[in-house]
Amino acid sequence: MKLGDDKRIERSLALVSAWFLLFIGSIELRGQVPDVPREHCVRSKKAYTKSKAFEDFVSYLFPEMESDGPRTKRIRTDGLYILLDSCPVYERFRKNFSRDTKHLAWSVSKSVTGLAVGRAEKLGYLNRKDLVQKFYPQLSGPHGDSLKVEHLLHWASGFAWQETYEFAPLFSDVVTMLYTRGKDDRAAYVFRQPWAAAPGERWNYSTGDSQALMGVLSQSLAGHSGIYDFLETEFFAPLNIENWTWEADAAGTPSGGSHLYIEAGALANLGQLVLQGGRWKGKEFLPEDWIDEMTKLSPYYREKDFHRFFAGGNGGGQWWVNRTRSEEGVGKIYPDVSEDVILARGHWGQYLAIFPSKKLVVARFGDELDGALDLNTMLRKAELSVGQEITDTSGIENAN
Amino acid sequence: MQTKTKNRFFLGLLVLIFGMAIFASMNWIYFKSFPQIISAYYAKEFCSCYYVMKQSEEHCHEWTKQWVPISSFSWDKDRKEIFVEGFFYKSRARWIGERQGCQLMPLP
Repeated sequence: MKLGDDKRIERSLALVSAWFLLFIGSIELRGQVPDVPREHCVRSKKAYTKSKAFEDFVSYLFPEMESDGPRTKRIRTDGLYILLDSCPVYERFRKNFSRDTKHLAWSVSKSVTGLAVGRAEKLGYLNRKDLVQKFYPQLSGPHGDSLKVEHLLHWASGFAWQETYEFAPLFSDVVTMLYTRGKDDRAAYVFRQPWAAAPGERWNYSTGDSQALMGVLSQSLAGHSGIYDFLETEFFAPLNIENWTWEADAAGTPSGGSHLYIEAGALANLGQLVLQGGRWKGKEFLPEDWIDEMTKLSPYYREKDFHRFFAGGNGGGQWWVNRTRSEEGVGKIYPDVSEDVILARGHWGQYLAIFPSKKLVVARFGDELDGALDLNTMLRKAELSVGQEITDTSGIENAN
Repeated sequence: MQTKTKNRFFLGLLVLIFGMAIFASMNWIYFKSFPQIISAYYAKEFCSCYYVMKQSEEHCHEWTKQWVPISSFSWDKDRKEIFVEGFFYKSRARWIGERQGCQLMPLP
């Protein structure tokens, strides 16, 4: 009897310590991008965070100020998470926010929708060349039979769309779609819009196109396990992302253009996927050319399409880029930043920036009015934060 | 002299109202749904701020506030439901789950 008790205690002790070890292990693993030796990461973290240029970048995003109160035209960062060379090298959060906070990504959601659609193509649920009518047979009008998935991907559907937010809410199709007439079936609302151009004729940044793209993705999965099961098991989980919310309308379609809630570290992981050209753990996670498809300068984009207020750069497909097409007068939007920078941008300070040549990924959540943060400045400081050349020439001070 | 100024003022007002009415009727589809935005936005975004982003009640009010103030706010914590009234319209949002977060619901 006594012996049995001992054994029981021993067994529960073993169980407790096993759980404890697992718990510790899970802490250690959190936020770590796979396949990277720890030692290497400790080294890059140390080297990166001690440079002056790094300090300059971080202090731009975290100016000394009172952290609460209404949203203003002053920079206010809720969360910052940086990956360098596949290693988590820095994270910092405002009071009451943490690495566990699922933060509203606003229009950064669009870029994640683009990634998810790529995953669906890789798994054979849909193809970028598919007609949208295949998924929405009710789509009509003069161009109903020529609109393809790739047009939605490139924000070039041709639907009439007013992309305005709180400054002119009366005519905003975004607000109408999200909160009033369109709210119950948002993709259907987009497909009811009149045509302003033929598909592919005109590039026009539109939350409607992103929402419609998510609608197509949802429909393509309707005969399978459904959109949420796909997002959970075939998209987020393989990328080590567990803590997410993607709000839906009453029809069950996630808000492809606006309402993804995600941790800063998870967002950085998605940036790492882009940096790795769509490969994850050594395997093709997305079609081989998918990242290129989304992050080249969109073939439909012209210089006149640049809109200073909404633009996060030149137009890609669900992403913003700094690439140029000089023969057509499309120049760099961020003059002090490399041409290969890739950017996702959301309302009120949400950003995911990828610098392929620096192997740098910056995920940043904020709560400030649009325009508070100068994107050229932030991107330049981020890019300059990496690389020996800056620590060696510390005499050169960055003008703000 | 005074009557003339008065008449002119009323004529101007009439023209202004007439112009606004034409503008409103031309854009009636937008005008009709516009007032609903205030309460719908507040209800849904407050709900998400609290239940999804897990911020404090105080922060969420600050975060959700718009330039048009709301007239009433009530909260059924058991059902995880937010009711907001603003601009003479009522809206209801409810937290429906970990993955789908908050959603605007028809009024009961």
